[in-house]
Amino acid sequence: MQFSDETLMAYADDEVDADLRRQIEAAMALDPSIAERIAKHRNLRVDLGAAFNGVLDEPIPDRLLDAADSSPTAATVTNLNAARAAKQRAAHPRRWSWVEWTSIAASLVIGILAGPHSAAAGAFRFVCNQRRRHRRAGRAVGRTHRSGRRR
Amino acid sequence: MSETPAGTKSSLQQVREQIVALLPRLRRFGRAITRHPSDADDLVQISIERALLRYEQWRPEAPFHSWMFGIMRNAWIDEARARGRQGKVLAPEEAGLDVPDNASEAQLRMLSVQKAMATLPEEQRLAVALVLVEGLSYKEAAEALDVPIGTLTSRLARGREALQKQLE
Repeated sequence: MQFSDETLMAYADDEVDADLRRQIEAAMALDPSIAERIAKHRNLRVDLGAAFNGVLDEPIPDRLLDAADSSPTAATVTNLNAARAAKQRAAHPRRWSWVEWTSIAASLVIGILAGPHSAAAGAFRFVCNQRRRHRRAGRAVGRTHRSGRRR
Repeated sequence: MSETPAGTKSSLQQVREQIVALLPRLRRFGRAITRHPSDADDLVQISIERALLRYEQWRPEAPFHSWMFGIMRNAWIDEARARGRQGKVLAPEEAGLDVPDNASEAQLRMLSVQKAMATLPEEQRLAVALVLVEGLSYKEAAEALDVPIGTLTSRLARGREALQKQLE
């Protein structure tokens, strides 16, 4: 009797009903190639287990335990793209993007509270001058006003 | 919305506890479906955050792992779409898929299997990961993927055939 590969896979996965199971087992007794095909399917499952089960024994990273404890809002859900981009930037520093200039400038505003002659204030003035130079440099970095109109 | 009787845990707390209990398997599933090991824990983290945001959507009579793996699968699909839209080239092979000089046969086999999984189309890889790596039944896997059982089994069959071919 002929059984499709998909049927024998289902048998290997314990997903066939009692009738079909009996038919397959009866055929197996007469045809060794059926048992061979089933063994191949079972061995693949074993190989996949060997390839991926190791992680089950690893200690859980703190950040995942922290995430399970956290109270996320829609705004704080991590973006995989951003996570990867952040790692890449750390590994390969490049010319800063417009967004990064803006956020650096914003965070330096806090430094202004330390006083107009502080190092932070000096750095802030430097960043502002860079932004003006950057803007004059060209339209390549567009900027949209909060209202949605482009400036 | 029913009120929680005094003395029972909120469903959010239940979801937190289920997540923590499932973490090793979520990490394993992440390794199986992402092409790069460093993406796996990122994906688990995003999925945990989404699950906590949507905890009310889990019906306690439904198996938690099917729901949670479904969230991971959706998060992964969203990520793949975002990368496709931006025309991003996948990162080069991570260190760690390099074969050490004195690798045992078992280690070589592990690496071949991991690499073979990475070459599968997303749909087949997800089906194989749910059924053969995570041990879900066809019914549970079909629920996690939100597809009919027939679709699940045909993706699974094609994935297995492709893997067998590569590993011969």
